[in-house]
Amino acid sequence: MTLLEINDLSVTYRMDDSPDVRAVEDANFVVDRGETFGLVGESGCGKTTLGKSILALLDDNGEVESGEAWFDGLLPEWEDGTGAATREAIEDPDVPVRSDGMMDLTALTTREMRRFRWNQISLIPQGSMNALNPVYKVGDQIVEAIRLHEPETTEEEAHERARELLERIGIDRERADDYAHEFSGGMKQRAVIAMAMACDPEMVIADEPTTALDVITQDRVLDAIGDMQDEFDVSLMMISHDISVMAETCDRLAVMYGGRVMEVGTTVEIFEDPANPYTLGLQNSFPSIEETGHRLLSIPGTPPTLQDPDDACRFAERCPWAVQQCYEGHPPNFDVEAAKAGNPNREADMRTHRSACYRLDMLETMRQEATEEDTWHQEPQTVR
Amino acid sequence: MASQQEELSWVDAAKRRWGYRYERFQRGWDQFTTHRLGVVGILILVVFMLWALFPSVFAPHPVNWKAFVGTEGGYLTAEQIRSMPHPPAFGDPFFAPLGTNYNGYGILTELVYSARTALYIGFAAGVLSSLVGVPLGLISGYYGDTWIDETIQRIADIMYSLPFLPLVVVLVAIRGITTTNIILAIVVKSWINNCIVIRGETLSLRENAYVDSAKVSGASDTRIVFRHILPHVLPLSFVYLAQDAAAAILTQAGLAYLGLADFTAHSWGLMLQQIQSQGYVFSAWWWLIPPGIAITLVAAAFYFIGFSMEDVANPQR
Amino acid sequence: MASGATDGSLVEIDGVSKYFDTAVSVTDRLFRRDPVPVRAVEDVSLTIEEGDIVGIAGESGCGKTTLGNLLVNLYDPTEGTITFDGMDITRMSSEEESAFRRRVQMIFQDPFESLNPRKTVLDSVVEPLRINGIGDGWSDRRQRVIEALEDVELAPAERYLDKFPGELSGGERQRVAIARALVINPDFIVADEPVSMLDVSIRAGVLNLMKDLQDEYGLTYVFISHDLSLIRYMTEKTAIMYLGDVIEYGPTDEIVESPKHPYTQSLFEAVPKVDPTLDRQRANVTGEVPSARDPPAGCKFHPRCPKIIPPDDWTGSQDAYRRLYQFRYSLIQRDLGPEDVDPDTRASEVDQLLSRGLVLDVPEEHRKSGEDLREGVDLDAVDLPPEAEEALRDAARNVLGGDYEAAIERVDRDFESICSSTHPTVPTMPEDPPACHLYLEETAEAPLAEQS
Repeated sequence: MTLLEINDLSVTYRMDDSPDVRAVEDANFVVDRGETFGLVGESGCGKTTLGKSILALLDDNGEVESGEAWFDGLLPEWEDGTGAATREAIEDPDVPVRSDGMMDLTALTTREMRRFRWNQISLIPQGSMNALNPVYKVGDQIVEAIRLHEPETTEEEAHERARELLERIGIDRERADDYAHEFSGGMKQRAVIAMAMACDPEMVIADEPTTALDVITQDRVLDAIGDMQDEFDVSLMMISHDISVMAETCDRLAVMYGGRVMEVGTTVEIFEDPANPYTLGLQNSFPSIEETGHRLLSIPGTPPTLQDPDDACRFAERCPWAVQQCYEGHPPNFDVEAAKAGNPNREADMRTHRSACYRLDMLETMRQEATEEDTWHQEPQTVR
Repeated sequence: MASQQEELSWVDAAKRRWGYRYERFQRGWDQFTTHRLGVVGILILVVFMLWALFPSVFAPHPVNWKAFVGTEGGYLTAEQIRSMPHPPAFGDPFFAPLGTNYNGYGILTELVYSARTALYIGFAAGVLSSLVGVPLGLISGYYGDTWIDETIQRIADIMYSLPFLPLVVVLVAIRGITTTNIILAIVVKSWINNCIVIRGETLSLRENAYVDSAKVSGASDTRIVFRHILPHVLPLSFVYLAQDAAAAILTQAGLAYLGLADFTAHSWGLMLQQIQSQGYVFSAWWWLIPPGIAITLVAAAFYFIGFSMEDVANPQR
Repeated sequence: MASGATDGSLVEIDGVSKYFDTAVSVTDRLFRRDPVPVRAVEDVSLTIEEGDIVGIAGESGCGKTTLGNLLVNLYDPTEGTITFDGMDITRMSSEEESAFRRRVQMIFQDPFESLNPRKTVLDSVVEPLRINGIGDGWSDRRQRVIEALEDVELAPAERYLDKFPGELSGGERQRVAIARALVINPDFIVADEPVSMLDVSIRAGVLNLMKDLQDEYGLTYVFISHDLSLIRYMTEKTAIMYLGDVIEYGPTDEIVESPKHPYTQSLFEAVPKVDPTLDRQRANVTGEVPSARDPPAGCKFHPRCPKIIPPDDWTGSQDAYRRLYQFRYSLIQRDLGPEDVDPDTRASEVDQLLSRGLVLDVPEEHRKSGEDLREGVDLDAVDLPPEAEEALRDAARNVLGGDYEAAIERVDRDFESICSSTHPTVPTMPEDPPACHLYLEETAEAPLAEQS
C-alpha cells in the first residue's frame, strides 16, 4: 500500500546573484507502508533536500519548483470519520487532495503543514544525539513536541504520553525527569526517537542517522531504530551516503546523483543486479571489510554543478559508456528487467527495478567493464 | 626563450593573485557599504580630513583673524569689545557664519583649524594602540597559558588598574603639555583592550589545522604567527583601531575641557574649555554648540566605520 | 616490553604515555585536589619498520590521533621516548629538528582546515621548501611544486598554482595537502583520517594515490582511521587502540579475519556488511566507552567485555559471571542505588536491586528472554552459584544502607576477576598476544578461553 508517492518533484534554491541551484530534479519513487526506504548518494546529490522538502523544512531560499509529494493521510478537516477524503475536499481545486484520497504535501500552506508535521511524518535530524536541549528535562522536551503538534492535549496527558513513549523505546519512565547529560549516548538516541514518535506518525525520516559515529555507537543507533520500527510499526525513510548501512537496513533504495534519481529498486536488486553506471561506479569504490585483494576504483572527475545545469544526463561527463544521446537530455526511467530481456527502452512503473540510462542494452558489458580500472580512466566515447 | 615564458607567467600569476585579492576587497567593500552608517562615517571623515589638510580653503578667515580688525591687529572700541562674543554675522559688520568667541576669533575658523588636531589624535592614538596591542596580543595568544602569556597579561592587568587622570597629570608634568604626550597617555591605557581581544582570537586561530601543518613542515613560531595568524586577525584589529580613535578624540576633548591640553594647538575641546571658563555657556550658543557637534561627529564617524568593518571581519548570516 | 633496536626499524615508540591536563590549577591547590589528567595514550610501545604501512585503528577517544601527533612531534610525550632512525625526537637540537621535519610529514583529516584559506596552492605547497631551504631560487621551487602536483594527479599543474582552497573540491584539496607533504621528499608520513571527510567515490582515488606513491618513493606510512574497511584496504599491520592502550597488534589480514581481543571482535561484529542478503549479529558489548580521565582498573575493557574471566573456582556459567561483574561495575559507578527500588511492588528490595543490577545492556539478541532494561532480569534465569548469590545479596544490603565501599569489597573478596585486578601486558611486536588475559601466559585456564 502506497504511503508516499514522489511524483516528478523538483526543488530549487534561489540564489541572490548567481543562477538557481537545481538541487532535485524530476524525482520519482514510492514508499509503501511498513517498509524501510533508503535515499542513498554522495554529498550534494539532493537527498537531504528531498527529505526536507517533504516536510517543508527547506531553507528560506528553497522552494518546490514542480511536482508533488502525495501522501496517504489527510488533515482532519478534509476527511470524513472513516479516514477517506470527503467529496468536497476532492472536488475543491484549492484543496490539494486527489481522487484516491492522497494529499499533496508540497501544496500545503504553512499553517496546514505545521499541523501535519510530526503527526503523520516526523524527522530524526542529523547529529540527533545533540538535538536534546541541555537545559530542559528530557521528558519536558517530548511534552513540548506533543503539545506543539497536538495542541488540544493537556499537560498531564502529554506528560503521561511522554513517559509511555520512553518506556516503549526501552528507557525507564522515571528518566523523563532527567536532563540530557544524565543520559548515555545510546539513551539520548532513543530519547530523540521517542520525540520523533511523540504523535504516532505514519512515517519517520531519518537524516544521516549514523554519519560521523563510531562503529559500535552506529551499531547501537541502528539497533534503536530497528526497535522503533518493531515497536511502533512505522515506515522509515533513511537518508545516508553510507552504502553498507543502507544495505543492512533498507528494503528498497533510490540512488541519487546530481539532483536526479538514477536507479530505484529493492536493496537486493541494487546490490546484486546494479543497472546504472553511477551505481556500478559507487559499488566498486566502496571498500568492504570482507573482500581483499582487488583494487578500489574511483570515478574520475567531480560531481556536476547544480547551478543552471545542462540538459543532459547528469552523470554523462564521468560515464565511460556515454554516447551522444546521453548529452541531449537526461534519460527517462527504463525498466531493467525488460532491458535484460532485450527491450531496453521500456519505460518503467513506479515499483519495478528501474534505471535512468540510455545504455541498458549493454548492461552486462557495463557490469563487466565496471570492475576494471581502465574503464574509468578512459575518455568518454563521444566528445560533445 | 624559457625565461621569457616564465616571466610572462610570473606576471600573469601575480595579476591573478592580486586579482583574487582585489575581488575579495571588492566583496569586503560591498559588504561594508550595505550598512549606510559605514558610508556616512566615511563621508564625515572625508569632510573633516579635507578640513585638516586644507584648512585655508574651508575656513572663511586665516587663523589670526579677529573681528572688526581683521588680520592686521588693532584696537577695538569699548562697544565692540562688549559685543563679544558676537553672534553669527553675515557681512555686517563682518563675516563670521558662526559668530566669534570672547576674543573676537571666528568660531568657524577655529572649528576648521581644530580638525587637524582631532584627526591627528584619532589616527595617532588608534594606530599606536594597535601597534602595541596587536603584536602583544598575538604573542600572548600564541603562547597562551605559558609564562609568556601570564607575564604579558599581568602587565596588562597592572596597567589597566592605573587611574587615568593621575597618569595624564604625571606624564604631562614630566614631559610637558603637548598633544603628543596626551596621546601617549591615552595609548598607555587603550592598548590593553586591543591586546586582550587579539589574544582571544589568536587562541582560537592557533587551534586550526593549518597551523599544525605549518608546524609539521618546520615553520618557526614567528613565521606561523606573522604569516598564518596575523592575516586573519587584521580585519578585527581595524575595528578596534576605529573604536580607539573615537575614544581618543573624546578623551582628549574631555581633558581639554578640564584644562589639560596643549594651549598652543587649536582643538575643539579647548574651545569648550574656554567657553566654560569665560562663563558664556548659557549665552553664546554659537560658540558652545559647533565644537560639541564636531567632536560628536568625528567620534561617531569612527564608530560607524568600526561598526561596518566588524560586519566585514565577522560576517553574521 | 621494550624491543631492542632492530635493523630496518625506522620508528621506535618506547613506553610512551601522553597525559593532558596535568597542571595543578589554583583551585586544585585550594581544595587540595589532585588533578585528574586525561590519559590519552598510555604505555604504548611499537616498532615501525622502513617500508611498512601500519594502521592505527579504534573508535574516537582511543588515543590514535594523539599518538599520530606524538609521532610528528606536535606534542611531547609525558613519559617514554620516540626514536626516529636512531634519534630521540623528544630531545632534539634545532638542527636535528630541522632534519626531522624534512623527513617526517603529516596529512590531516580536514582538507579544508589544513590549508590556509588565504594562501594559494603555490604558496601552501612551496612553504615547506622555503622553510627548509630546499631548492635554488624561486623558479626551481616553483618547478618542484609543479612536480609534486603532477605526482598527486592534479594536472595540468600550472592551472592549480594560483587557485585558493575555496575554489577546489574536497578531493583536490586533499591532494594538495598530500603534495605539500611530499614536496620535500620525506621518508615517513603519518596520515590522520585522510579520507574520512571526502565523498565515497573520491576516497578510492586518494587512497590508491597514496598506495602508488608508497610504491614509487618507498615511503613508510602510519595510517590512522576509525573505518576498519579502509584499514583493511590500506595497511599491512594494524594496531587496535582502546582508551589509550594498544590492545592488539598484528598483520591486518589476521586481525580482520580472526580477531582475538574481545574488543576487536566486537568492532568487527559491528561493521555493517555490504551484502544485503547477509544477516549480522549486533555487537555483544555493554555500555559505552568510559572517560579517559578515570578508566576502569585492570583491563580497561573489562566492564564491557563479553568474555570476562571468572576466578578459578567459579562454578556458574560465564554469562552469570558477566552479570555479576555488571552489578559490581554499576556499584563502582554509583549507577545503582536505593532510588532504583520501588517500595510498592511485592518483590523485596534486595531482589529488585539484584534484578536491575544483573541486567546486561546489550542488543536484544544477546539478552535472555523476558529480560528488560527497566524491569530487570528474572533472577531464576541467571544461574548464580549459591555463594555468589549470597555475596550479591550482602552487597545489595550494603548498597541499600548507602555503603558502596563495603558492597564492592564484599564482591571482590571472593569473586574478583583477574581482568579488573591486573592490567594485561600490551603487545609491542606483531607476534605478541593481544592485551587480554585470555591469551596471556599468566592465565593458565585455556579451557575457559573457549567458553562464552
